[in-house]
Amino acid sequence: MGRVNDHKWLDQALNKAIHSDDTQPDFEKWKASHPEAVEMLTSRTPQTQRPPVIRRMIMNATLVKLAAAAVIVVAVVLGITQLTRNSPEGTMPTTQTVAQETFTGPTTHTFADGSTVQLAQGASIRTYAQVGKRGFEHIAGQIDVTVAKGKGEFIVTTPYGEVKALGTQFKMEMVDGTDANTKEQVKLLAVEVAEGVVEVRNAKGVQTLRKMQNAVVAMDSAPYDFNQDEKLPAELRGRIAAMVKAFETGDKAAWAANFNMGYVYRLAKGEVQYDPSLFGGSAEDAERLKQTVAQVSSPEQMRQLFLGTINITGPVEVYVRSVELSPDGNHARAECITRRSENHIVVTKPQWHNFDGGWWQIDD
Amino acid sequence: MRIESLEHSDAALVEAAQQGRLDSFGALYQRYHNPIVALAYAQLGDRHSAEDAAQEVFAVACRDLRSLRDRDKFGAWLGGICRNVTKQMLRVKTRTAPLPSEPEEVATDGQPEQKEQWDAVRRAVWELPAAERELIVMRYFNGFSQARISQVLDLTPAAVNGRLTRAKRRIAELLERDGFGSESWDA
Repeated sequence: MGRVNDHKWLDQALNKAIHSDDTQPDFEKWKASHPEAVEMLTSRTPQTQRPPVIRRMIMNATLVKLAAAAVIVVAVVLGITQLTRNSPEGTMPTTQTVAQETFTGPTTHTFADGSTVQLAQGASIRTYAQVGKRGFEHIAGQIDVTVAKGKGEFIVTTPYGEVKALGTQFKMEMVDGTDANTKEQVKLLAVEVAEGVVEVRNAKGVQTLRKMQNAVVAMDSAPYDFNQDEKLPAELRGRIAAMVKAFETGDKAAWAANFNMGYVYRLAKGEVQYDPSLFGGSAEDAERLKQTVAQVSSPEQMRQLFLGTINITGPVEVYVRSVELSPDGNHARAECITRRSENHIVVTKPQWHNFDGGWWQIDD
Repeated sequence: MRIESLEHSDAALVEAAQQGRLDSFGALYQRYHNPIVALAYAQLGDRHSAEDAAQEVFAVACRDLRSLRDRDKFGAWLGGICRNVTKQMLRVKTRTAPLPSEPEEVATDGQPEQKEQWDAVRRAVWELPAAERELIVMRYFNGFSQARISQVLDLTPAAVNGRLTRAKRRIAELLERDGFGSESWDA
């Protein structure tokens, strides 16, 4: 037998026999099943990080002992003086901590500064341990936050990044589930601003959101708002926004209006050749379309037929995770998370193409 | 320390987590969960038990994180916890490093001969000394990088390379002994 590294067969054999790619880390699930461990990590005040051996060496020096004793005496005297002089609120140390509280929806929690957070069913938040720090940890689900104005920065931390607000109202939703079709794990945070300004920040980037703007933050990705993506033509952004709104309002006609029905009609009638960049389906789909709509005699009839096949039932949340533009700038493909209910998530990849004088959606 | 630390080094994440930042511990969990499942699988020979072991490893780590001084060694520290947890599980089950017993999870493509081949490979892997078995399982379980393996097993990349080569040579010999040499895999 020659050098092992010369034999790909062994690598392949080991891969086949041992490989596993169905192991998915799910920190939220782990957290939920180990509350006591989480509590131990998050509730205690930090210990000193100096190695004990060095601390002992330092403390053993006589001079240090004397200095330490002097500092303690001065601190005690000063402390007593301050306590006797100041009002109680003036003596509150800034690093003081309190026990964290966890709230689970449906409920509404009002903070000491007057800010409120409304938790939907299944949503969960935890207050900060640090006294005086405004905000909270968003753990799961959908929440609506109203921040009391004029009282400094208010920060909501999440595993995806942090959301900083200054006097505003905003909605946050943590999506955590699996694609109903592909079983792909889907995790993201969506932030939508109702009033004021919000800054969404993580290690990958920052996105500032104003009224009616929203951003999607996937794990290990920069916050993304297609409406502020300057690489995308304005008309395309409008089309994407129209698609999202049509889903949100459950408006089939508005959704269908994004498609170039005139082109689909001409394709069905054989007046134009099948072109995969202009028609989302395959060549076989285009053939089937011709057979299905043989009796259709106008683009309007085609539109009516199309409307009857659309499966939009009621408001659907759509989060645009990313949009990629082709190098020639005439084709775009998005990745969207469509949420029909709490447990029904589908990842879709709609496409648009710039033709016939405008941007048209060609695939859903 | 804010959320920016999510993409930072182990040491930065550990430091933030030691100060109570659960999101930083979450990032460490995401980073090390699969390698720890692989390491536990190398000890237990059963994927479901390995998943359970990993859950317990992170629970222990979360509880004891503040005691970790050498933050750069988080991976190795976690690996140590994993070995302790799996030893305890094996003690409870009064068995030692059994052969994997989950044919339904192995890609056999429906061919009995292939199933026999995969079984032979796994048998050979589980005949290796524990240290070599850990390396092989970690390398092929989920294709972890040499760097990640080095961190969890507390070895230098060169040592990982050398040991991997030796372990593979040993597996090839064991397969040859059992009649599953390189020629059996050509088809």
